[in-house]
Amino acid sequence: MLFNSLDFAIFLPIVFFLYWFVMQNNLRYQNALIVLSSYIFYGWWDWRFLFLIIFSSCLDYFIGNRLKTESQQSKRKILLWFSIITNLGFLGFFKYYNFFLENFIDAFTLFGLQINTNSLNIILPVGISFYTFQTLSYTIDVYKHKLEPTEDFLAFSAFVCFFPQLVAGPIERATNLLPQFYRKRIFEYNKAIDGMRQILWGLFKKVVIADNCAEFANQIFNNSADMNGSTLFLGAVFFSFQIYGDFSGYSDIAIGVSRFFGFDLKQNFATPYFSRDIAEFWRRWHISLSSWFRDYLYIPLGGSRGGMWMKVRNTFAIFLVSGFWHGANWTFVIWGGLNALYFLPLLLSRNNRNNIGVVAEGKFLPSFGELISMLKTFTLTVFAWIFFRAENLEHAFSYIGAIFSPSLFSIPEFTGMRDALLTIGLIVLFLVFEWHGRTYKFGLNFISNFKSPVRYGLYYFLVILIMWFSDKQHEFIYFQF
Amino acid sequence: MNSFTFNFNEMKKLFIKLVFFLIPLCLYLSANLCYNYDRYRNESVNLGPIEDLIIGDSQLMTALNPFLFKNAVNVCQSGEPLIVSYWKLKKILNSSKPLRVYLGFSPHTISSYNEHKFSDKKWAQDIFRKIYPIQDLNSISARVEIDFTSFYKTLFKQNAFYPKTKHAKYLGCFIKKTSSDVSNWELRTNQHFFYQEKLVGKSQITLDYLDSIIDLCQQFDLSLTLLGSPLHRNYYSNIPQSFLIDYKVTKAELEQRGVCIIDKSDGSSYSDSLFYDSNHLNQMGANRFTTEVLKLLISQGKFN
Repeated sequence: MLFNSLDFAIFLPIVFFLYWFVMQNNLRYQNALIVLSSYIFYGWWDWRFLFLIIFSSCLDYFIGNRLKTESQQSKRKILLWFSIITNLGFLGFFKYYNFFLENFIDAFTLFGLQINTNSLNIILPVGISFYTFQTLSYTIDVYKHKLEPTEDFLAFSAFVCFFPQLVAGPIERATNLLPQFYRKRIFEYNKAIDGMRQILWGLFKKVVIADNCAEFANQIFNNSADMNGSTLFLGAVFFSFQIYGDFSGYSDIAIGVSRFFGFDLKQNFATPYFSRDIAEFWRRWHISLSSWFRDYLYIPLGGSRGGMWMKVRNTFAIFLVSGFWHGANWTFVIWGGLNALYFLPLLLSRNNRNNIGVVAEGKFLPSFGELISMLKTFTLTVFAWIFFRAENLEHAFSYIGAIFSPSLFSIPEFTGMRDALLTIGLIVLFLVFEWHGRTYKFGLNFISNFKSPVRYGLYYFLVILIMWFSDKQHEFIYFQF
Repeated sequence: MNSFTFNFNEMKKLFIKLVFFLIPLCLYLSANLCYNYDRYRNESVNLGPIEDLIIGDSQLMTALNPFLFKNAVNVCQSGEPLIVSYWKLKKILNSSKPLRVYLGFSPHTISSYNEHKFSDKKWAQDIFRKIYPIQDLNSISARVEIDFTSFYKTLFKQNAFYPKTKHAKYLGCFIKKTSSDVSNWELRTNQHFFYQEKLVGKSQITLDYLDSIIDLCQQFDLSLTLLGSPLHRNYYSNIPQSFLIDYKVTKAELEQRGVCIIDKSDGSSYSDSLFYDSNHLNQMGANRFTTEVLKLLISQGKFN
């Protein structure tokens, strides 16, 4: 079920009504309703894959409780690895089976050997990468005694399948979300209003920014052989805003919907395109995934504690794995590797934690130096996104090659250039909002201090824009991951 | 098991706020919808005192130059199926009284790929955007699939946001093309005679609407001429033979019924430089085709 669909517009009020008006006095009933509605939400796409979620929930619930009672370290380790291998096994099969098989065949062909194997027509279950990482974090935290395992299966199931963030995050930690299923939830007006504001902002990002940019990004990437350098660069810029609007928009809607039900999810994006260096960008982009890799991969590998070689190795490890997490294609691996290369000079010169705070905090505009740093970081990410968007490596390299041609300095040319100018105008408007809201949890948060007429005027303006552009319905990009 | 009290006042506050937020919005949108509905229902087409009316799709839109006529107007629209041409003609005849009507009629005109234009995402939204003021979708046979969700979305988008003074996007005009590149013949024939990679047949519904157009012209005492504009030889030779036979049979049947047809679709006498692309003429081609049509009509005594 898409957040920007009529189905969800009917589904949400029904669940809201049942949750607050019918199940109001019983926490277990409320949790049961969350599980049931989450399964309906997920099953709307394909009910067969519900069994994977249910299996994953049962497995990690059982292992979590066994880890509590088991005192022998070796057995605890076996339990942990059993959970990791099973969860990653499902992920590996559904997401990477054909990729490994194809590369295996290619490798043999390289040595002149022909082998016959059949690839399978495997459907990738929506959101598998997200809920797998969520359940894994629970088991690892229990193993490390950072978290008490839950005995409430209903609460645990609700934690695994909580519908607002089930298919595209934010990837929640059990330490943050699970305890919220034990606590009574009281409906709070301010929280609900804030949630609605964040949903509105998320819809604006998705429907107005991402879906509009998608039209041009798709057109340019799909016909890249016929485009000049400046058009190709513009296509990459459109894709950069498409993916940001799409993914952060989804996160905003997920967080906003959760607030309706009395839950607080973690912030997933913090104006990443205003970052002054790549290290800052990665502290602000897909925060829940970056912090997951930091806590469950980078630190266990030794983090920054060892020598320089270890730091470099660990940095490459998390970026490459992060790239591979996004999809079974070398383009994602190169995208991860490229980001590691961007990150490396900062790490080696110990400048990776230079820009911790918000850019130009307390100021209306950034300084010239800050502006240059932001533009430089943005340009680097735009180039990395080309690998993320390209069909394959050949496409990505030819795309970049064509950008670096004399035609880079010509006027962009493609069908619908006039509509593209309107989209560029909308991106500028979006950036103005984001800039003003950069110290808040989401772009529209800052208008809560505005006087009512201005605030309501802005709400109406955004609602009208969303309705106007809602006919170009595109699926969320991160569903495929 | 926890029990707790439900915070009714907070919820009430939210609902009141929501209702007060939505009321002005709904009023604004509804007012626009009502105004625009009334406007387009009663909007008359003002084409002036015309004698010749040219209707059809993009082929005739680029092929028949109305400025070479004494008093003609070309209202062709790209991608227009005959079903829409019928609605359009009906609407125009409410306020204008031309003497002669020229209707685009090429092999692809009767192809059943036209029936998918109301349901396939490639075309539906664009066609609904143009035809909502004149459409009569409910009267089309159930055999034609219609994406009503897309239609109502388009209708809402076109009418709910601001009051419009003009809705007649269904009226096109003569387009002058200057360049020439005929390389797209394969792409175009695939588009016109295949749907989802399967060969399509002739569309009975389109032929029924063609009958309705003939009837309508008789009813208003108009002289109807079906015009097949020249197609590039590569395009023409790539039309599936079975389809070409169907087209010729249909043409013969119409001629037997007394319908005047000028068919230049086998455009072998037209050089590449006269084409904009494989199935559209450019300005030079349009001038030649229009002159030829006029000469023929004069020789037949249909035109002074």
